[in-house]
Amino acid sequence: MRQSMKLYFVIKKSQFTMALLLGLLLAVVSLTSSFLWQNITVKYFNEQFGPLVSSIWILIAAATVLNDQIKHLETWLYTQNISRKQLFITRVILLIILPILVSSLMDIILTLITHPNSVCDIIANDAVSGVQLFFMASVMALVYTLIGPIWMKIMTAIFMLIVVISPILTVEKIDHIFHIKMFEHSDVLQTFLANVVILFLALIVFIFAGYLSTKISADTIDNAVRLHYFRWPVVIFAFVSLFITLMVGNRSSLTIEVVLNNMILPAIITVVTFVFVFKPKLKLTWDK
Amino acid sequence: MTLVVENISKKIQNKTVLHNVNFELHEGEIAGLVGRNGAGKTTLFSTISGELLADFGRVGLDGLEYHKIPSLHDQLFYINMPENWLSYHSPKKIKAIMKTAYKNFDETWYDLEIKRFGLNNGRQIRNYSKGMRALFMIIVSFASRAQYVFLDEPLDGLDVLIRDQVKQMIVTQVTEHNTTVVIASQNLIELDTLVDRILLLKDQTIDRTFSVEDNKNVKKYQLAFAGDTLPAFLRDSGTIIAQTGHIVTIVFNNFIEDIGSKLAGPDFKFVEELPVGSEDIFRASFAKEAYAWQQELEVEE
Repeated sequence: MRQSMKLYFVIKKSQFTMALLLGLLLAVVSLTSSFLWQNITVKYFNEQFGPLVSSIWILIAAATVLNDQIKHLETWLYTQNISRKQLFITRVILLIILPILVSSLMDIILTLITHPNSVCDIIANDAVSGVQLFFMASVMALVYTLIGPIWMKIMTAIFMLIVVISPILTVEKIDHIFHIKMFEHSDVLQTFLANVVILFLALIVFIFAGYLSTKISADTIDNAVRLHYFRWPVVIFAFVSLFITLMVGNRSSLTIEVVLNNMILPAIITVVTFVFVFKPKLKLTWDK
Repeated sequence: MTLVVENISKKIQNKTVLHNVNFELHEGEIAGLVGRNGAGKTTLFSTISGELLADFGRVGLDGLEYHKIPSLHDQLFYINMPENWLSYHSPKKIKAIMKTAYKNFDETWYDLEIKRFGLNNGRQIRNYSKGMRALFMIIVSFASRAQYVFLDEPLDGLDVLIRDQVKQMIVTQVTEHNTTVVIASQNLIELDTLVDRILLLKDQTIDRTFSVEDNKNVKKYQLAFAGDTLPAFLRDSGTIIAQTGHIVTIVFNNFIEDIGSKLAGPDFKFVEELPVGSEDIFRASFAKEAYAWQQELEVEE
């Protein structure tokens, strides 16, 4: 594991340096805005510094992983003194956990300098956004592992963001998950538990994605779904997830017409997914 | 130290590319891997090195499962030549990476070779010429000091002078460090002067392993036949490499006494035995296919 971390860090040293410089630049902007232009700059920027920096860093990380695939670094790393599982864990630590922790740390330090009284709020805020980012990253990691071509990875990630990640992240309290009043007495406890559930969910997704990464061969890079036994589940998931999303968003009373109307878009998306996943060869000819 | 490849099979896009590939590589030998275009040479390298997961089979290194023990992986160096991430870095940066990746990386030798061939240390490899890129990849491969070095078409794009220097480098490295080198190449003439033996990849497997010395029954002749038509037995028992009028160059896959007697007969005005190279043995191995193509061409005409 140490070898894996060391090797990946050495290869990505310049990207890490650039990302850190960008974070420091934003920290300087945050500091100057606090001291010099208090009335001009937006208060929101100071409060959201930690989540903003970690989001930017995770976006850079996502681009880095795509870049690894384009430049065939990933395939070379498979030949190295590290296992596929170690490579996966290394990326999770260096590209996801480390940015979240470092940005939170920077945020806490900046808050101690500028608004020491609100440091507890900032820690709580960073913890919640950190868990949310961690969950988003876990879903992205699963998509990046299972889906082959770059553009399909990006499209699937956007789809997942709309139909899976966003609805889950809107769950602010534990009662909203179970639809029962379990912890009515404490909002803080409810928020804490909701985030623990999201964190737990993220860990499961990461473990699953990590397991898949050990089963996927580099030659499947052009396949929409890189493990053939996941092809049908992916097609079915596209339909079910979008259908549920549309039904949940439905405000009118539940009738057959509403259900059928809400099936149109999922059906289209499912057909499109099916075509890309299975690449059916349709013979369009009048010849007998 | 021996690398044993056992029953490696690999399908890509539902097409069998490798089927039950078996062979062994010994310390300090240079082996050539030949096969027709698309025969699966690169897939074989990629599967052995761990880039691709084999569907079946194993690779053993000194009795240990190579693919299951990552710590063994710095004993083998393979990088896909035309498409690789190294191109986006300078030799200086690559040195830092390789030092981390390969515990025995020979930094001094690497620096010396970079200097000897006048490669710009601060420039990204992708800005090098095709030949210089290939040369750089060979330098990195050997600097890794991995016991096994797999080179895929390493001499491709190199000019004659550099090619000779590279060939000399390969031989020197094998002699000095007892490295085992496997060279995949289409250029059989080039391999003749380099390799100890050749692994022939045919019909998705290592069809046979041979060295020129082991193939005494393969013979090459240049001859001039007397009649108007080519004697039928030539087509049946050999592969015609070239024919200009009555003059034919032919390789016999299995040269038996009967063929010798026929060649000495009145049907031929002139018969001369030529030295056999790996390319001739390769041709002889594909004799049946070559004959089928000839037949098809004749039907089309």
